[in-house]
Amino acid sequence: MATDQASSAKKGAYRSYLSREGPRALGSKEIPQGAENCLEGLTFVITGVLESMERSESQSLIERYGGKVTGSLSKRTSYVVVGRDAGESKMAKANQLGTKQLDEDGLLDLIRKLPGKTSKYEIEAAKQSQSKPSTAKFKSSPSLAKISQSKMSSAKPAAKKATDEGSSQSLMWVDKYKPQTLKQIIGQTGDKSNARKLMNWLQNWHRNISSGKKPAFNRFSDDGSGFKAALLSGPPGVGKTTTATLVCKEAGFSFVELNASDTRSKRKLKDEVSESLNNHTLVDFFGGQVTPSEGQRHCLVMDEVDGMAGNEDRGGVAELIQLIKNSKIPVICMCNDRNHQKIRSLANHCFDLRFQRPRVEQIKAAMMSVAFKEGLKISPPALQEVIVAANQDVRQIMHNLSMWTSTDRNLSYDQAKSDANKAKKDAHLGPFDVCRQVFAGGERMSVIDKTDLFFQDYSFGPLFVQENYPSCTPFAARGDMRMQMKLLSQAADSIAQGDLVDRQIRSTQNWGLLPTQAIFSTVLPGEAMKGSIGQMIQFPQWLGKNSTRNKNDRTLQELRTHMGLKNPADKHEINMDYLPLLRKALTQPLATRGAEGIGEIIQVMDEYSLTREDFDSLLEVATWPNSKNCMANVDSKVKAAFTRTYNKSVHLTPYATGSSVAKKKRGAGGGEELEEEEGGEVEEEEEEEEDITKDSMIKLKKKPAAKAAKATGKGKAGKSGSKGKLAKKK
Amino acid sequence: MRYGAQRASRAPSVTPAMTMVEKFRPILLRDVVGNEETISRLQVFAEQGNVPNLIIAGPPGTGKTTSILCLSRALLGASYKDAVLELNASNDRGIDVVRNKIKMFAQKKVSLPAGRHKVIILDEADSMTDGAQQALRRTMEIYSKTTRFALACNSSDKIIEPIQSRCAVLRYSKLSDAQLLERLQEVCMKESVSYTEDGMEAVIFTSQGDMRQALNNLQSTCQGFGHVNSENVFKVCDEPHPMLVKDMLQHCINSDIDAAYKIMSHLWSLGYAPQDIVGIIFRVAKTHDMPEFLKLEFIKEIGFTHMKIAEGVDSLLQMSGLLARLCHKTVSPGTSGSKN
Repeated sequence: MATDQASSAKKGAYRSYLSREGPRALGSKEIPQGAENCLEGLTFVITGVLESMERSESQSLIERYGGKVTGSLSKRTSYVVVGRDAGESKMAKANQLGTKQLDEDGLLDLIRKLPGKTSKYEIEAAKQSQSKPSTAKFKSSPSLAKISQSKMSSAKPAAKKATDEGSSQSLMWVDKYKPQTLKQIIGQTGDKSNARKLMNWLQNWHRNISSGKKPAFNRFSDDGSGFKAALLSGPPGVGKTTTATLVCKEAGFSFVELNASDTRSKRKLKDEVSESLNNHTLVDFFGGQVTPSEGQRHCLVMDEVDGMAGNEDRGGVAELIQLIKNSKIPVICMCNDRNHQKIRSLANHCFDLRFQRPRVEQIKAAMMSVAFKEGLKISPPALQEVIVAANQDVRQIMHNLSMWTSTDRNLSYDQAKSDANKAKKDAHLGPFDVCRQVFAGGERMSVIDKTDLFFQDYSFGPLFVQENYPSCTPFAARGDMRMQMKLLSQAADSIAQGDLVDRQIRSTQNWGLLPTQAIFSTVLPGEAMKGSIGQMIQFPQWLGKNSTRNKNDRTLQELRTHMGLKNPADKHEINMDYLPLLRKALTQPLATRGAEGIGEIIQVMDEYSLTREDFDSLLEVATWPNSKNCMANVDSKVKAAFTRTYNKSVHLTPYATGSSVAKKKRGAGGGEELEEEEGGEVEEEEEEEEDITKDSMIKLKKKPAAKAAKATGKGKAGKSGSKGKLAKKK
Repeated sequence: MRYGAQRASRAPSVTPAMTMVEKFRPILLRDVVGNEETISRLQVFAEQGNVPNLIIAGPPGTGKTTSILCLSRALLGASYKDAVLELNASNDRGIDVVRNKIKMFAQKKVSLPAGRHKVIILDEADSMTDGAQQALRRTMEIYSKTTRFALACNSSDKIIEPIQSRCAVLRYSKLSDAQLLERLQEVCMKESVSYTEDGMEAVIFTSQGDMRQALNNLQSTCQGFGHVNSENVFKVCDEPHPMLVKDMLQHCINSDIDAAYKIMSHLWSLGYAPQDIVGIIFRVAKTHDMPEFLKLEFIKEIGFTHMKIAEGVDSLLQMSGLLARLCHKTVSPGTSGSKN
C-alpha cells in the first residue's frame, strides 16, 4: 500500500511538473554585475522555476561568472538553487548531502558579493608558455603537464620560437598552431586513442600482412591487424588528417596524398595510383636504414573519400577497394560520414577508426594557451561559449577567435556570446526540432519567427505538427481538462484549414498562399497548444499510410484491368462489392475441402482472367485491418499444390503479362552479375544500364516464343528469376 | 587612397549608362553601410593582412560582395589583377573547374608583400554543387600559405560543413532604415535628385532592408518622374500604399468600419488587384503593433480571405466582408448597433 501511495504521489508530482507554469515575472529583477570569474570552481544545480528568469538565462548567468551548472546533485555540488515547484527527489538528496540551498535572490547576492579571481586556465596557460611553448596543445592532464614542464624549462625552445615568429606571421592560426607531434593533437593523447591505434596498426602492417593474418571481425578487441587499409571517420575539424599525417611521420612512413581536389576516377586510380603502390622511394635505395624484411615504408593517404562524386570520379570507390585488396603498402582513407551509401562498401575492407569530437575541457585548455601566446584576454566562460558555438570543431574555433579578436584583443563574455550566437553553424533545423520549437518554443517567439519555422521545410513540417499536437500539454489549460479539449479542437480546426490551403496551393500552383498556410498549419496550432511535449516527437504516420494507400490503389487498378472484360465496374466498386465475395470464393474451397477445391478455384480465376499474382494481391487488398487472415487455416501443402496445378495448365489471358515478369528478372539478374564481375559492391547505376539493354534485347528477339510459354514459365520465373533468364538466353 | 580620389572625381560626372548600384558601389571598406562591427574587423585585416578564410552570409543587398571586393582591393592594391580570382554563379564552377582552374590559381606564384595572400572570391557559393565544394576542401588547406578564400552566400547552410569548418563565418544582417536613409540621401545629393521625406520613407519600405533594391527603386522613380515622393515611388513599385493599409487596420482595431471601408474603396478605385491588396494587408498585419491574440485572429481572417480570393471570388464585396469580420473581432457586444 505504501509503495502504491508513493508511486501515485510521484505520478501526481510528474503531472504537476508537466503542467507547471513558466516564470511569472520575467525580467523583474535586476541582474547584478559581479566580479570576473567570481563563481569559478563552484558547481550549481537548478531546480524548479525561477520567477524572474528562464532556465537558460540563469544557466548562462552562472556560466558567465565561471560557475558550472550540472543536471543532477552530487557531493561536489556547491549550491542548489531552489525555485517554485522544486523537484522533490532533488530536494531530498540535497538535504541528505547537506548541500547549501539558495533561492533566486541568494544567487544574485552571491554574484554581487564574491570576489573575482584569476582563472586557473589563465594561470595555467601563462605558466606553460613560459616554460615550453611547443607543447601548447598537450594539456589533457594539466597537473601532469605542469610537472613535466617545470622540469624542462630551458632557453632553447624559446630561442626557436623567436626564429619561427618571422615566418609564421603570414600563417593562419590554424597552420601556425598546427600540432607538430602526435602528443599535441587534442583528444588523441590517451593509450586507447585512435592515433595510438593507427600507429600500432601502421607499424605492424608489414609483419601482419606477410604472415597472412586475416581480419578479425570483433570491433572491440580489435587492433586492425589483417586489414590492409584504415578508415578514419568523424566530423570535420577534429584532426583526422592531422592524425594521419603525423602518424605517418612518426612511424617513419613517407606518404602520397590524394584528396578531393584530385580527379579520382576508376581509370585514373588504376593507371596512376596502382603503379605508385608498387613503387620504391629513392630513400629505399639510398637511405639504407630500412631492413629488407620490412619492405618499403611508404603509404597512401586517400583523404575525403566521400568527396569522390559525380561523373568525374565514376567507379572510383570500387576501384579503390580493388586497389586495397592488391595493395603492397598500407592505405589510409578518411571520410566524414562512414554510414554514407558510397562509403559503406569501402568500410568493410578497412580497419574502422571513428573520431569523436573532443570534450570542451580538452579544447578549452589548448585554446587558452593559444590565446595567451597571441596576447588575447579571454575569460574561460567566454571561451566556452565560443567552443560550444562552433560545435567543438577545433579548426572553426581558431578561425573564429582570430576573426573576433582582430579589433579588440580583449574578448568579453557578452561579446563572445553574441558573436558565438551569430556564428552558430547554420544547421538546417530538422523537422523534429522544428516541431519541438513550434510547441515548446520560448515565450519570445514572434509570429514571424514561427512562420520561419514553417519555412524550414514547408512540406514536412505541417505533417509533424499534425502528428504531435495531441501529445502536447498546453500551459494555457492549467490542468483544466475542459480547457485542454477546447484548445485541442482549436488546434485541430486550424490544422484542417491549413490542409485546405495546402490543397489550394498544390492544385492551382498558387504559391503566394504559403504564408497563409504557415499561419494555419504551424503558427496557430503552436499557439494554442503551447506547452510541454510529454513524449518523443513522433514521425508522421501519414506518410506510411499514404504509401500503403497508393500501393493498394495500384493493385486495385491492375485487378480492374485484368477483370475488365467480364466486369465493367470501376475500382472502387470492385473493392467494395466484388472483392469480399471473390475473396471468399477463392479461399473457402481450399479451407474446407483442401486439395480438392483447387480445380474450382482455378476455374473462378480463369473466369475473371486473374493470374496467380493477382490471387495474392487480391487477398492482400481485401483484408481489412483486424479481419482474420483467411488463408491461415489452409494447409501449406494445399497452397503448394495449388501453385503447381495453376502453373501446369495454360491460362489464356486477354492481356499481355510480360512487363512485370521482365522487371522482376532484371532486379535479380543485375544483382548476380554485379557480384560475378566485380566481386563486391560496385556502383549500381552503371551496371544496371547495361543490363537493361541486354534484357530488352532478349525480350525483343524471343517475344513470340516467350509469349506462348509465358503462362507456364511465369511461376518459375517469379521465384527464381535468374534461372529463368538463363534458360531464355539459350 | 588612390581609389577614394578616383571615386570622388567620378561621382558628379554624368554617366547615364551606369546604374546607381554600380556607380555608388563603395570602393573602401569604411564606406560600406551597415554591419559596422564586422566591417571594422575586416578593416583591421585589410591593414594587417593575414586574413583567414571567410564565409560571408546574409540576405541580398547587404554588401557581401562589395565588402569582399573592398577587402581584397585594400589588401592587394596594384596587384589586384594578378592576385584575385573571382568566380560567381555565372561562371562554370563544376567540380572540374575547382580541380583545374582554382587549383592552378592557388599554385600560381605571385610576388606579394609579407602577410598578403592571393584571394579567390567565390560569389554566390551556395549555388556550388556538393561535389565542387568537396573538391575545394583540401585545396583550401594545402595552399593556405599563399592563397585565401572568400565566399559569399545567402544562406550558409548550403555550404557543406567541412568548408564551414575551414572558414570564419561572418553574418550580415539586413540594413536598418536609418542606414538606408543616410546613404540614399547621400546619393540623392550627389545626383541632385529632388526628394521629399515621405518619398524616402516609401523607398525604404519597398526595399525591406536591401540596399540594392532601394537604389534601383530610387533610380527608376527619379528617371520616370524626376521627383521622389511617396506617390511616385508606389506608382513605380506598384504596391498599394502600406501606410493606407496600416491606417485601415487601425480603424478595424477601433472597430470603425466606415473609415476602414473608405480606405478600401479608395484602394479599389486605384485599380489594384485584390490579390495584391490582401497580400499587403497580410504583410502589414504581421508587423502591426497590436495585442498578440488579436493579431493571430486578424491574420487568420486575412488568410481565409486570401484563399477565397485565390479561388476566384475577388470582388469588392469580399474585401468589405474581410473588413467587417475584422471589426467584428474587436467590437464589444454591448456597443452593437451604435455604429450604424
